[in-house]
Amino acid sequence: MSQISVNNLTWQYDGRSRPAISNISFDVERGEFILILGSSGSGKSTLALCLNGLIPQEMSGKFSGKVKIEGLPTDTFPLSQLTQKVGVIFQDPESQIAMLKVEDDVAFGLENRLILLDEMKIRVKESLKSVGLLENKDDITSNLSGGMKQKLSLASMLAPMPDILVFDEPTSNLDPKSTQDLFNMIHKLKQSEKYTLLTVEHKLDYLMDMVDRVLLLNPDGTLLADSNPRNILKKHFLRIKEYGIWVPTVFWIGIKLKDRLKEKDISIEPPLTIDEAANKFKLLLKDIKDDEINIGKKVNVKEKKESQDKKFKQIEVKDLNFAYTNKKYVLKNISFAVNKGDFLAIVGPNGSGKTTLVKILTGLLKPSFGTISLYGKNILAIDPVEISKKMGFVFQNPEHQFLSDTVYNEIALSLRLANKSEDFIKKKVNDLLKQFELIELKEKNPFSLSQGQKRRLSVATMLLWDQDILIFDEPTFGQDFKNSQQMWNILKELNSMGKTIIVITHDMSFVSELTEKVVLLFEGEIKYFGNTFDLFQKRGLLLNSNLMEPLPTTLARKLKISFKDGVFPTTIDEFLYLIN
Amino acid sequence: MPEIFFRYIEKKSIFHSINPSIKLIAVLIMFVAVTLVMDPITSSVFLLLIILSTKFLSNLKYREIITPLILSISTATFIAIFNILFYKTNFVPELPAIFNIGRLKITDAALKIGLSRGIRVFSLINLSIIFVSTTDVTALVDSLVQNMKMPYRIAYGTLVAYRMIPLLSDEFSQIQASQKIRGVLPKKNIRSKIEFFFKQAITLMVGAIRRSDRLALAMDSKAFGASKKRSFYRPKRVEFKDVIFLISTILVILITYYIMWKIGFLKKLGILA
Repeated sequence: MSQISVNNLTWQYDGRSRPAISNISFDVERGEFILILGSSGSGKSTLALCLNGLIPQEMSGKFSGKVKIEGLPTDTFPLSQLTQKVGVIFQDPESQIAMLKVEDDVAFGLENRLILLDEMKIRVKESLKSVGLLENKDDITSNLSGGMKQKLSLASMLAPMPDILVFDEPTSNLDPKSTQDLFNMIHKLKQSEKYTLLTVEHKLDYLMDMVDRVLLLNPDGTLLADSNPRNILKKHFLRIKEYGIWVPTVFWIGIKLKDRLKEKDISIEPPLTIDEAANKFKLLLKDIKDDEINIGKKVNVKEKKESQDKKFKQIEVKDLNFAYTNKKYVLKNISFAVNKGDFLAIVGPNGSGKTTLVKILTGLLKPSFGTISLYGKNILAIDPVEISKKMGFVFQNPEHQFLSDTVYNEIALSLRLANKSEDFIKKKVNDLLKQFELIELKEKNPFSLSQGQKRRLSVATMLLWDQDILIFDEPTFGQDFKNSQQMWNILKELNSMGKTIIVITHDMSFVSELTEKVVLLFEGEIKYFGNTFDLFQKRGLLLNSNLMEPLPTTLARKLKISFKDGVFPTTIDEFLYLIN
Repeated sequence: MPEIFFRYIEKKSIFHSINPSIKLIAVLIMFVAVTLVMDPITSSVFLLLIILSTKFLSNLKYREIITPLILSISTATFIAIFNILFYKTNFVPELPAIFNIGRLKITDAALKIGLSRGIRVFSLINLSIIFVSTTDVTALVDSLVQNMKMPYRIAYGTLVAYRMIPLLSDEFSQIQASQKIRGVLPKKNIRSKIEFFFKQAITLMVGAIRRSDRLALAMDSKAFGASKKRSFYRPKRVEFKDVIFLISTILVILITYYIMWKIGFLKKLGILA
């Protein structure tokens, strides 16, 4: 008997016109590692909830088919026992912690299951130890960082001693270092051979080496394929691309390389894991005898347009210090300048002050010391409405910005307030709707859009005044590959139109592929301000500031290939240039 | 945020060690006892008792509770002055003035009532400060469930909601910032401001409802509410010392009443004077 057996599973939430998942069948054996892939809205999370019985027992909707965990049917067997066997770690760290103190939260699930005190004490300690939070057992949960919160949620799920663990995009709110930490933890769980693991995740680079099988979902919630990762990527790559699903970066590089090598009549199978990539690419390089390969000079893949106005300082930050009411400085001695046409990333671990910095730049917060000048004028002396005409700011949560009942009105709103004529408004709004592929949705309520559409709308509402400076807080956060690419292209286009783009992001491939300059914040101080390419050469600095280097850099290091002056490639194109 | 004014301060002291439910009952009894007293001298005696017990039984330092103290002193002072100046007897022509402030006549009754009300408010806020600063919320809920038979689903459900308050207040300021940056500001009139506030509140609610859905799923995943009973990671018992504490509180109240009555200050107890 399989540990998990899913048979013709269909689930339709009440009030929805079509099933979230339909006709799904698969089996999972003890100890397997299953990756669930699908575009957003394809029912990945729903599937996760079907496994521990929350669907159908706690949610209302239409259920058919059969899900059995170790032979026990999930639609009738008591939830307390099903949830004990199957632990689920959700996406949002904030909404799965119940208690105020760390150890209480771990104990919470045990108390509900009537575990006796002595046993509880042992299990709480063990679970916290295994995720590395034992020292924090008396901490207040709301003071923990996002990464620690996810570790705590994992500990709380380990304590009831489940056989199966389901991770539903557990890293999407985490910074790169915390993501890596959590993946390492999942690695350990896999190695312990105590658990069957199912994961919904789109950051695949450091996960693929664990995956035994992939379940690939169609956008309509049916199962397209169930096979080993190599088969899935090989057979269904076109579909995966069409659905906008993330693939491992090395696979992507492999595909591109394959195209280029075709001319030379060399065939290469795209690799799945980093190690495999290193080995495969090494074979390609075997003809060259040197151990260290230094080829040519670094190519200027990102063609720079050093025009006159590029040197024009739009924003200048001088000796900025900032503290909230509790006297602790969140930002210390920050100085940097943004020139016209810059594409700047602000990076750093969670809690390093990135969002605070941007809020000060836009005049939402006042600096405790120091000055910010916008076009040479102190920002405190400029009227907020004037600032919003010079500088657009797209926050992380698009919903926060919505004020109207339709997509059209949402964009028209600011123009109406500025007393523009309806004709003018109509033209402007329709142009934007077209540009952002929202024209067919213009009568819809903004809150009813999909994640990607909401994002695009929130960007569109910010472009009304043709602001010269646009600031984005995590623009690709939680988006599937297609939407992310779309956002990349929008930002690239805006930048090529001469707009200054400032982006807060955790996505290092975004930083390396798109941006020219980086401000690296760590514990409220600027650790680096300069060229993006140079930042990723400084391995020690990256390590000390909890950042990850881009994958092409890692790969080049493994292969010991670099440009002549000893610098490593940071983008995929640079890497491909080198290996060719 | 409310936590800046009132928060638990982790320490070791007699007050900290008392069973939270018993402490709550004792504080409530004290509340009633203080409220019933109309005579300012007796009220002062109670205030003195509260201050002395804070000093000797709570191990709290003044600077740790300075913010709520200032808050309570200013509230109490305001209430005292307001009543002294405007209590109804001041406006009865037949009653004699004990002194005048400008054209305002201050009567004996107004002075007494004003002082008494001020002192009582000060005492009540102080009682709350002591209770909140020496009681861990989780321990209170644990104890209410274990010792007072409060239904655990309600008790811990409330606790989880309590955990969400700071998150909501963060989110609200994010919403305000997000909308401000769009250059959309309410007009100067009250109506527009209220409309604006409602729009922001609705956005907050949409987020909050989604969050509570997710939270509910997470709680279900932890088998919350799955069985009628629950085991306890932090067992709470009512011990001998807790009983002694409760009895002592009642005795202190009765003795104070008795003495003050004997000396002639406390003539009667009332509710709303």
